[in-house]
Amino acid sequence: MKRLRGKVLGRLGVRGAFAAVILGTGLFYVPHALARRPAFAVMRVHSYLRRGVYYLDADLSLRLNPRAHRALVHGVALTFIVEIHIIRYRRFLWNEIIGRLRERYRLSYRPLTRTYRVENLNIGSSNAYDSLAGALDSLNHIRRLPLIDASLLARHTRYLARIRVGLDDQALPGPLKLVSLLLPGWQLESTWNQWVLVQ
Amino acid sequence: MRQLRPWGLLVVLIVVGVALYLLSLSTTRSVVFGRWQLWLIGANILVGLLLIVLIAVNLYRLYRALRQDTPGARLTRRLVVLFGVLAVLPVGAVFYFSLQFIDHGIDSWFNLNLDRTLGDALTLSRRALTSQTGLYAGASAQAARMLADRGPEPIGPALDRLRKELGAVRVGIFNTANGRQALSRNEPRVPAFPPFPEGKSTYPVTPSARLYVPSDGNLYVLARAPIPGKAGHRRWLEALYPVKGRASKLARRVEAGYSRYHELSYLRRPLKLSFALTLTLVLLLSLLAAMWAAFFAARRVVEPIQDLAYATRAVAAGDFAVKVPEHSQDEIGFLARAFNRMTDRLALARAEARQGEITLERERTWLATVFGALPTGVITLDAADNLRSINAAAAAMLELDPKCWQGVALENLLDQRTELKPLFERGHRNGRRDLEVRLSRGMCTLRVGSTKIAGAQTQISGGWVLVVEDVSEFLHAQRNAAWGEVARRLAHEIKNPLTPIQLATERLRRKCLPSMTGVEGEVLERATATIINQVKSMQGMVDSFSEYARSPMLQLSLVDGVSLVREVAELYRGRTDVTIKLRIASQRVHVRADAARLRQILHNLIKNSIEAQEGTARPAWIEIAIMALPKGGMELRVGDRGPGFSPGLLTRAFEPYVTTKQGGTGLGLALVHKLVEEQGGRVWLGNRPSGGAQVVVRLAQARSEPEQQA
Repeated sequence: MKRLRGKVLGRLGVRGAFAAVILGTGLFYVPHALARRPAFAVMRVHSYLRRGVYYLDADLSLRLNPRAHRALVHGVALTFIVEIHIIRYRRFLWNEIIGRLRERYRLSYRPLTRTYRVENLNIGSSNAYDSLAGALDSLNHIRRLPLIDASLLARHTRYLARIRVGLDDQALPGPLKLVSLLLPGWQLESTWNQWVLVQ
Repeated sequence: MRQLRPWGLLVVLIVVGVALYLLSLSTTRSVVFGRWQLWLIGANILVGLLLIVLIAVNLYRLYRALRQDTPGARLTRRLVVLFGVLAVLPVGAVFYFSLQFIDHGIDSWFNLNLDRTLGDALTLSRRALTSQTGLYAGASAQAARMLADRGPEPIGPALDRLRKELGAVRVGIFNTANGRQALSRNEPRVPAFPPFPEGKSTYPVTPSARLYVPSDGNLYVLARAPIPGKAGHRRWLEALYPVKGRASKLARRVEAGYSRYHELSYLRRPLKLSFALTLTLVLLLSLLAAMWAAFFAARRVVEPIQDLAYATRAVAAGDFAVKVPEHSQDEIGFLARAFNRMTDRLALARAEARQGEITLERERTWLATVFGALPTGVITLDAADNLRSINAAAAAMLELDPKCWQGVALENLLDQRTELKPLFERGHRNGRRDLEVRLSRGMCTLRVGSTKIAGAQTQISGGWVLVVEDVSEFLHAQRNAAWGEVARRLAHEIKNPLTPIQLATERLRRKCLPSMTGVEGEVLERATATIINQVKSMQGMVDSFSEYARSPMLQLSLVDGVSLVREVAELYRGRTDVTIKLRIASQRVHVRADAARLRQILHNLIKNSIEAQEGTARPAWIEIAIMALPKGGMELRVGDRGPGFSPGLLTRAFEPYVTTKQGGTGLGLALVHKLVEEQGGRVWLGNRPSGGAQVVVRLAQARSEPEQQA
């Protein structure tokens, strides 16, 4: 059995065997604290009312760790989700989420042109960038994103909004999906950032 | 014992199976089950934990059962170990070879040559396109120079013309000051220029061109060339050329292939890992399920055996009512049925045996009762001359306590009761003889018959059966009858001539005596007197004989023994020649007897005692003792201070004409004996320890007496 385990270890690699052992014992929970610093963060949000519509400008900070970067240049498309909730504040009850926005962007690498391509999956537009920094920069700046029609909001009511950005692990290829659940470095997600939309 | 539920096992196994199947689907077909993967893994782990808990509980139970030495525990352990090993070995082998297969199989899809070939194809495509881009860069540079040298022509039409000349789909002039300056008019659905990185424009110092893929996915060449002009006012031309023909399509196909291959190549390790993980989970769950199923199966197998073990213990303890459940149709079921049949038969056999025992016991009791009720004494001896049984009659006859002597060697009995020796003499067995034996009640004539037991069964054969009868009374009766007859005849024959003799003598005396004088007269008177006296004496003797022979009707009534004895004693009170002492032990002595006979018995005994003491100087001393017997009845003892009975007389004193007295008829005691026997009593003779004779009369109480008294 020991010899068998040794051989298996040799084939799978220490990390794989470790993961297998962890899974085998049912203690597969990997704390997020293993990620050294937040790779994704929301730096600044600004919402404003223009012609009856609330818009959002947001500055994000998306940094890819080496593992994600390696996957990207090896042809794995990464999908980011910017999730925005519009929340009606209620004094005596729990708050009510009245609107949910999910902006999805796909970042991929094109080996022929050696460019990074960012696609907005919601509207279908895409752009190519020579560098990863350029591509991420285009993702980092959200401008004039319509949030909600002001007419949908009740008067004299406080509304909140919150935003977070993360990597959509469900959009990863199958084998990576399972691994991303277990291995550190794949839990790329910012915390919720909440602000007052309407006082 | 807990009832096992095969449905529970089935449900758990189905759940495990479904969970594992979904998990394997989620690994390979990510779209449908992908989003449930985490849940599936969680569910699988939960099932695994549940199985671990179940196994732990079962292990604990097994441990406890082993400690308590419960039947079947060791078999369960053996089966579980066996099943466990049987499950682990193939699962381990499958695990090992699957890992090998995953490892080698996935690696074998990828090889270095294919990787390099695809890289080369991509490079080739890029080169082919780059040669085009060089051309477009040159053309754009030339166009930029033309724009710089152009006349007063407005910029818009000039750009349109330029676009057509260059064969571009879009042409534009940009400057560093405010970005976009002018654009050509374009055909519809032409992609836009790429945005400037980070919103800043960069001035191309030298003409350049690169491949560009806008949103529509088609391949374009983006050429940029500086427009010569005044310093500080930097402008450049950008032109977007479509890559035409098969080159674009092929290049894109090569790129797609390369990307896909690289992605797969990259995903090789996560794929292996996720396969390995899924496999591990699947096998772990299978193993756990197999272990649990092993417990389950072991219990299923052991349970009937356990039932059998419990039932066997119960049967061993004598409980034949125990039944083993007969669930299955297999060999175990057959065994259970056979066991139940066996217990049924055992129960039946035991019931029969018990019935037989009861019958036997009844027979034995019946025999013992008959044996005990026999008026004849029966004594059995085994081959080694041990007393096997003594019936009640024998015990009474020989004055033995059967409880003391049963099972005791004959020798021991004879050591203590030497007078019984003649009864058991070996030399005289197998015959019938009468023996005179001296017992405490007097001399008895016992008729002993003995027979050798010759049974088929060896343990009984070789013994002896002794039949003892007390024939003393029978002999007495015989003699009495004979003597009675003799007495009657004697009386009859003698009495008849006595009266004429007496009358003739008196007549002779009356007629002749007055006429005779002197010597003759004296002789006649003496002779006639003697004749008359002797005749009288003979008449008295004849009266006694006729009294002996006479037996009037018995008139039984309840007699108060004490007052009767007092009355009789009172008659002798006035006499000086006799002293009667009464010893009345019980005040109430009632017995059913003939009062007249009883009186006569007493008178005869008193008379006998007085006669026995006639020779002595002092007056006759008689002691009469009366007592009630514990079982009812009366005992009367008449003792004196005479010479007592000689040993020779003791055996024969009750026979008529046996007397030691001068002039005695020898009928006194014989009459007493006769009278007592007529009333169902017993009488025996003895000598008092302090000297003198003693006669004991015992009248048994009639059985119905107490009721009558009450």
